[in-house]
Amino acid sequence: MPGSSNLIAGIVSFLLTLMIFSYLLGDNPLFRVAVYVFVGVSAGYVAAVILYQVILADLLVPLFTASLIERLLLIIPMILSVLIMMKISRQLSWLGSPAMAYLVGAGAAVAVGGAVLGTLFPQTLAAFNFPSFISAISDRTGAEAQRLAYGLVVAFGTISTLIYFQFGAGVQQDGTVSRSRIVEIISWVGRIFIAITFGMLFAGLYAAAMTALIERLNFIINFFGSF
Amino acid sequence: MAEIRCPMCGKSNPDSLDECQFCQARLKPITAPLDPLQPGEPPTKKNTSELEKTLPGWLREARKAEDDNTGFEETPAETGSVSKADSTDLLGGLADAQEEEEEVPDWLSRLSPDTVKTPDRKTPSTPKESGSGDWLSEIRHETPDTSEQAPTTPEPESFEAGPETGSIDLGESTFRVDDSADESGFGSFSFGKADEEDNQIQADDSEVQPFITFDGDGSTAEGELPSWLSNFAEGNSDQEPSESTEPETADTSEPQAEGELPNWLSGFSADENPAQDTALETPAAPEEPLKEETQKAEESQVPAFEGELPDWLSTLPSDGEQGQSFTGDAEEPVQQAATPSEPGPEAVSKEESPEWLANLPSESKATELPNVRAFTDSLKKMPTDESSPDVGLPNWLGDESAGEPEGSDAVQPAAPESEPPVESELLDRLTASPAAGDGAAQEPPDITGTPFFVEEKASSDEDVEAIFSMDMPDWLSSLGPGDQEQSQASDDSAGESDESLVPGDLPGWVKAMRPVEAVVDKAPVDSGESDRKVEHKGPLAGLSGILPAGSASAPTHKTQTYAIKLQVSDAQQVNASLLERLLASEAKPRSLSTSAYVMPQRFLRWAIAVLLILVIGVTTFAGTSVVPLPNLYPNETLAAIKAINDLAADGTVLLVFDYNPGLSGEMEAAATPVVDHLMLKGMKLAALSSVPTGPALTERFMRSLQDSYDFQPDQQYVELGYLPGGSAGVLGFASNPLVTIGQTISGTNLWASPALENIKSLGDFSALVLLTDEPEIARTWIEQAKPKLGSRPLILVVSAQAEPMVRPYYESGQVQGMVTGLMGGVSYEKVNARPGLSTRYWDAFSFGIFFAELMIVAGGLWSLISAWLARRTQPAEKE
Repeated sequence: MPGSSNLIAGIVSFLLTLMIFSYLLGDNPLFRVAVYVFVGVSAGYVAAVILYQVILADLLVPLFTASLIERLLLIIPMILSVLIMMKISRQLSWLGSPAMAYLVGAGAAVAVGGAVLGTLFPQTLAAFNFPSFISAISDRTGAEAQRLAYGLVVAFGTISTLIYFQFGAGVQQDGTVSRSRIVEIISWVGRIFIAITFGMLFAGLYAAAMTALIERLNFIINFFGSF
Repeated sequence: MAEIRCPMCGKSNPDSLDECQFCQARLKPITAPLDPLQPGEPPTKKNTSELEKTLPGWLREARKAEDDNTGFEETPAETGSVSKADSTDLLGGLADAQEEEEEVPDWLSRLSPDTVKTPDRKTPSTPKESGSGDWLSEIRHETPDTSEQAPTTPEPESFEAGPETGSIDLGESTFRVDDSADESGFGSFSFGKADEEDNQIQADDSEVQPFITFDGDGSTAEGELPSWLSNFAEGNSDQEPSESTEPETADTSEPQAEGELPNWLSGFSADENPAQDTALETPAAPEEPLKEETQKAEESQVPAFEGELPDWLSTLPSDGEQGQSFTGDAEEPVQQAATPSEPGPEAVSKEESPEWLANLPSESKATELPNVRAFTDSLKKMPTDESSPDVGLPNWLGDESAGEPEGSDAVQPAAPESEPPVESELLDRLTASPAAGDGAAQEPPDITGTPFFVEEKASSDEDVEAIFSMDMPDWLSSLGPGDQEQSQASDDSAGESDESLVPGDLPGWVKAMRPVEAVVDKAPVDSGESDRKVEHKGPLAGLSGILPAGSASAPTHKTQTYAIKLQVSDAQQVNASLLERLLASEAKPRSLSTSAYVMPQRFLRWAIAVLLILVIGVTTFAGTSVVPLPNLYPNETLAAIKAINDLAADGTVLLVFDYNPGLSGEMEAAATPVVDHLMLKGMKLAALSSVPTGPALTERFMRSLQDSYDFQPDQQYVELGYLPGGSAGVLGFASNPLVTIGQTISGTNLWASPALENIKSLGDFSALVLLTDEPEIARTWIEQAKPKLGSRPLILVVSAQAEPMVRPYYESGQVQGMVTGLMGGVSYEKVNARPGLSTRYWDAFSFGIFFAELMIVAGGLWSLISAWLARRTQPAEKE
């Protein structure tokens, strides 16, 4: 009975929503129950997904159905999986160290490589954008100039933001310890860019949360409307 | 409880204790308090056994050796060496006594019980055997004046012919030889305090009570005596033995010259007052034997001394003014001199008296040295008959008189031609006169605490010093055991060359015993004018002998002056003032600041929440469309639209659902127009998720759109499921998606479905649309998957909160399009003219944004007003 299941699901959703909204009144058991339910359900669902879609589907079933080579290759992840399970025991936790080390090493390598090749280099090259700079100079329509100006602002904002985080200071002639005048000015500009960035982050967070609130209120209204 | 104060540390102790409980010093004297000795008063006997422990160590050992020896009756001639050995048994320990610092004088060590005989010995003493008293009797014979001057010489009970005990009064201590109960014939040899009872000195002030008593066997081994002693025996054999118990001290003898008193003898004079030596016990000697000895000693005369007299003997005053003169062969037993059978020393002519005896201090000196006179008087009275037993002589002296102590190791004569060391040493002490003709300073043995003579209190310090400051005769210091024979042989010439004695090498123990005066050069040190110069200025004005303040000690340069003012730098001054202010501020009481009452924030939170819910709820419930849709579209949204429009038809687009369930409302609102556009385009969809909750969200999302487009699973879209491993899994999927995502649990190969046909790699997909609300997931897919996509577009559908962090990737060209939150969705829907969920949420979203803007403005205004008011109130408070 899809209708009944939908009704039950609706009622449970409604109740859980109200329980979450009860946090407006402060921390209360209803809110905690809703959070605990959410955590539990999520953990259970995750465990089920991993069991069915990873362990069984990618490890155990191929041991019986895959070719010999595939089976031999599956022994390695099986042994590593068993060893990492030893982390549960305090006496045998040392057995899981090799597997954990492999995970950490592999993950670090992937992350570092991706950061360098996928973020650092492309972003740096994009910041230069010499061809656009050159074309912008020759462009008389103003479109490239606009882009050029935009690029200059971005560049200036990036530099000033980085300078703002430069806290090296020296002893001045009057004996006080402070940064130079020009550094102080640029860091002040960088502080403005930082503040604008923080504002954008807050706005986006508020927008996302408000959208979620709108969706929930819409659900509640539709739930009552369905009756 | 009565308390007694310790004489050492001065602390109080109970009266019942004998030793101090703090320093272990003796609190009570071992001996009974001794009455002061009066001149002419006969000494009283003391139990020498009580004085045993007061004896020096060397003496105690000698006594022990004496007990071990046998055959004390051997004649000196027959058993010369043995007798020497025997004679030195009593004193043999002296030479071996190394523990004690006190080293036995050679002359003393040569004397042995064998040579010292008392007249009371059973064995009839031969003239030589009884030489122990002969030398003393000889002394008395040669010094008749001395004996005459001792008319009131007491007859101490302890001095008897052949007494069992003898004693040598050394001031407060009494050196007694108790031979009462000893198998070897030797009595106890002990020192003790002079006791009135035992005091045998009864001479008047002008005389010295003879105090030395000798006992022991009457026979002494001949040859054990030094030559000078034997000479005494021979010379005075016809003289009555004087009382040997109280030998006349050097007080009766005239010193050679004033100032020439030997050191050791003069040192005795320092002990004028009775020494408070509690260790010394009064020897408990029988009084009767001492009396007899005294009587016999008085009757005897000092035998004449034929050979060269030692200095100390020569300095002994004769009767009246001269000291006793000892002549005679040293081989003569000393007892002979002690036997009171010869006339007194008066019979000894001055011509025959040796130089040392002649140089003995005069009567005036003798008055100052009563002990010496007493000794000489006693010597005069000592019997000189050789047959008579030794009277009053101590064993050690009697043994020496019995013969030459040839093998005596203790006696170290100074020179062969010198006088017998024993007699000279003894007489030197007795006469308290400097050694006659002894140019070199002799070093008498150090008898610390055991003065040789009983000194009257009336005697001056100078006399006492004169007694004990006599130098050690050369013959005494250099004479060795083997040299005794030589000394005896050269006795004849010793008297002549007495004045030219060559100072011999002193043994170590003698050097150790000699007083300081013997070491210090007596010659007046000419210190020059500095000593005579009297200081006239300064704190030492009026004093002489002050070191001049020479130029060497004067400073050659000006002393550096230091400023009193504290040198502080400016920085230190600043720090000091800062510290001072800090300290001062701590002392000041802090004013209590009253904090303003703050309204609980939860009311404000409730109010804002209620208003917001009302605005959004009413708007949503009303379904109004009051707020116009945006006319300006974001560029990234337009780029996304363009990218999807450029996709080829019948392609497969990979949808990645990597957002959390909490923001599913926004994500669904933003992703719906995109997926709708793809479906509208007829694209096949493959759904994948790198988060565990992704498959559930994928199914929810696809179910909502399925009804509109009738998408069939595995036909138009395929759910690839969960991609584990995070960034590594994404990289693996991007590298080989067929291996990373294999088959389902049922064994179904997903890549064989119609939706994923011709898909062998990531680049075979037409596009990759990533739906995420976290910037990290977006970065991961951009970094790992974009290189594998190649030219295929990567379109992001992100939440509004992740847009600022992801936009640089769009700006850099890594992402071809981006739909951001509800704004992007509305724009996408408006461009496609397909209103959807975003359009429905737009009014509520707009009112909510507007409400937030109003809240921010109001809050800002409130903050400004509050700050302005606070500034206005602060100057008023300061004023």
